[in-house]
Amino acid sequence: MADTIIDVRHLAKSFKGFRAVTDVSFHVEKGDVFGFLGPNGAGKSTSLRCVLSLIRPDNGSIELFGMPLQSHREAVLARIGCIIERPDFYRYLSAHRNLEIFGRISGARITKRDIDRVLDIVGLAGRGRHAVRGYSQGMKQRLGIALTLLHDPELIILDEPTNGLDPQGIIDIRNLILRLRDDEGKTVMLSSHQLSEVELIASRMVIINKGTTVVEGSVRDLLRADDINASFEVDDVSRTCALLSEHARDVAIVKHDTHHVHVSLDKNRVPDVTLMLLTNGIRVTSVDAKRKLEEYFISLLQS
Amino acid sequence: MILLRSVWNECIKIILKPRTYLGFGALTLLISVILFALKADGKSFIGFATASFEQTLSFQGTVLNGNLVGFIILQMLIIHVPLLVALVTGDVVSGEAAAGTLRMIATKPISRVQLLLSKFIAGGIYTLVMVTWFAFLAIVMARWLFGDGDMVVLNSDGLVILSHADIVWRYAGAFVVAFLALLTVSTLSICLSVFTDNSIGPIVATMAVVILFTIIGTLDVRVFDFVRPFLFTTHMAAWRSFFDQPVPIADIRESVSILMAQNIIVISVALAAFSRKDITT
Repeated sequence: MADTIIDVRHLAKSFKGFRAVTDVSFHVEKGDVFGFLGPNGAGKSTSLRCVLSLIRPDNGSIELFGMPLQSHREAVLARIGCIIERPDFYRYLSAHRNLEIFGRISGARITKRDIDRVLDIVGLAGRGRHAVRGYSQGMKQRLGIALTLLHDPELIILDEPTNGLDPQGIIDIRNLILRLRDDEGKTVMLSSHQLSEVELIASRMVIINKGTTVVEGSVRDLLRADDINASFEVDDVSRTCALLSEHARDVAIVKHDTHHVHVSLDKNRVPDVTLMLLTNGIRVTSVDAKRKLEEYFISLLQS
Repeated sequence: MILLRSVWNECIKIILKPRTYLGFGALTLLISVILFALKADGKSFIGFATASFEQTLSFQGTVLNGNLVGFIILQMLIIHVPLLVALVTGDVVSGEAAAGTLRMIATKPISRVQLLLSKFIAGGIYTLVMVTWFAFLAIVMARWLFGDGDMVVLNSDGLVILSHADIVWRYAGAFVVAFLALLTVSTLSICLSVFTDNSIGPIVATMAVVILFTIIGTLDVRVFDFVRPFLFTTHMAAWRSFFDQPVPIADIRESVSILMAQNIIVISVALAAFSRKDITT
């Protein structure tokens, strides 16, 4: 059985009568890239703040590395690198000085070489001596990730790590997270609105809504990863449906309208099905393969 | 160990924060203006003060020497220094809460008590440096510009003449008591800073408390007689007692005890509140 790194049970937290979190439970296992998903106001940030002891939950239990958070706060936090909400730094200080300050109380002995190393990893090696006030949002985000890596933690918690990053930056962070898991054996918890990103890198996930856990499990199991939702734009919807029923029984017709047939199918079957429709005289104007997680997420929240 | 590291962090933040130098700049400017004014026209200033004694007393030597100038500067400015202290210490918690860096620090493996204690210690060090700078400008610079000599002090009981050999320890004692009074301002502003998430609020609130307590302390109304001895502002003037003859040791000891007790109470309240504070910014 895998080691449980985070075990949150029946978490609840109210602010002045407003229930931000009602009943959130999830667990993160060693080596997971764990997606923490939910719409705005679902209670993600409040839950993460509880996990990092920024706020005290009204109810529920939190264990990290097998230890209760409340009684082992410092020991637990020494093993975590995190960015919550957004990375905020002392604007009047340089990136290097900021990392020095946070590193000094990280529980590890941080050298200048360590700081240079993490700045290099996130692509800020040449800007380390510049004041943070001159940094773009993307650069602050990179610096935040550098901070999470500084003391070589076992668990990395990232809240919207790709906010403000350009496409290349997003790819870099995605590759970095995968490298941290695969090469260094880190556990990563990722809270994000970028469902496509989570879908690409997460091994397990939890979706919460209105302060309550909706579903938790492996991404592959929950999404049946080889299936996708696709929409075929065609000139004859009724004939298309008939052809699919006759020649492609593994393709499930979800719904159809005047010009579109929405189906669920194995992603490898898209070219065959398209070719079959074309050879049977159907004019296929477009094929739109939807990200499965987006669909799943929306359908879950709607239900 | 982590407490010491955190104190060092807090000191670095204060040293590198541009606002820190506003206080030192303002203090330097104010004292320079007073020194210049007394150098330029000090005799008439002193003549006005000693006019009533000239019929009965004859002064030999220079009344306006560095020792008296230092005393005048202390008397004129010590009431304004709380603002300069609160300017920096008032936002050590709330300023970080507003900037979001408190959230970043609070996820590090340092206890809330140690974190806040380190801020109190750094605030105390800043106050000490401020008082030392004040002493340097007020005493060392004044002595350099106006020379040494016996000191004539006018207090409520009349004139007190202190031998120049008997003054250094009095100033040392006066600055220690002044430091303790300003330390109370520093701890109060940090305490207020725990209860809010905007950086200006605690600075304004601290000054409001200083002004309110000063008014209550000086208002000659019996209804405030009970509370007056416990106001830290009442004891901010305790430094003057070192220039009485004889020095009222019991009064000074009482003032020091009250100031220290208030510091301990304020720090305890702040630690209790900060340990339970939800960091939501």
